[in-house]
Amino acid sequence: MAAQKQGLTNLRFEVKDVTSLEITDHYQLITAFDAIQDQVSPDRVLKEIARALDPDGPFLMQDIAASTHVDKNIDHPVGPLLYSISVMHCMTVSLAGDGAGLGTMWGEEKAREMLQEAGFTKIDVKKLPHDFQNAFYIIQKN
Amino acid sequence: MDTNQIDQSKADAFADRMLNILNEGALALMSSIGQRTRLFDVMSGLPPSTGWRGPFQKACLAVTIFPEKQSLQVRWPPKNRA
Repeated sequence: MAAQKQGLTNLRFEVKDVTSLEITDHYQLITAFDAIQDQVSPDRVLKEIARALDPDGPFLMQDIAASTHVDKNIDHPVGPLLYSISVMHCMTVSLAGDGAGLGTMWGEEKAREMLQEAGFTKIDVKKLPHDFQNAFYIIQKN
Repeated sequence: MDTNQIDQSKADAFADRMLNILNEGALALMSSIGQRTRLFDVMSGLPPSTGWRGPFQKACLAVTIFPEKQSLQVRWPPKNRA
């Protein structure tokens, strides 16, 4: 409504449940910022995103840059902080709904595995030189 | 001396110190949780148990802290989850 009042007639905001979008080949771009690992059902959310995405459109998923395996995160500059946040927030909010509880440090290996299971075929991970905390997954289904 | 100029070595030292405070502060909280949940007591009798590949693979815990009750609630995920 606020957008319309400003004369932005080609812009619309809707609140939806991502576990049941039931939209196929529609959106040209889907983004998720630090959100997938907190989900109760991240597998269902990723499948719904894969379905809703236009066959040529990218899904941009920003998530924590880390390995799935603790022993590969020993030298992570904020490893202790991120694992702690995981126990006290990310895992907790997911497990509170009897969810998967992936946690902040689900890591690139697990993310790639789940993205492939959801039906994505191209996964490119980019990092910024000044940013050791985030990974940017540029993902397509075809 | 130009007062607007940033002393880069001091700024870097400050950034390092802040990062350390965040990491070490987090470890202090986690140590408290490990002690109060008896996780350390149980782990002291186990073989090396680090990470997703160890015996804790399917038993990652999440903790809810109730400051007003000074208590912790520990939840274990459903058994078919990673």
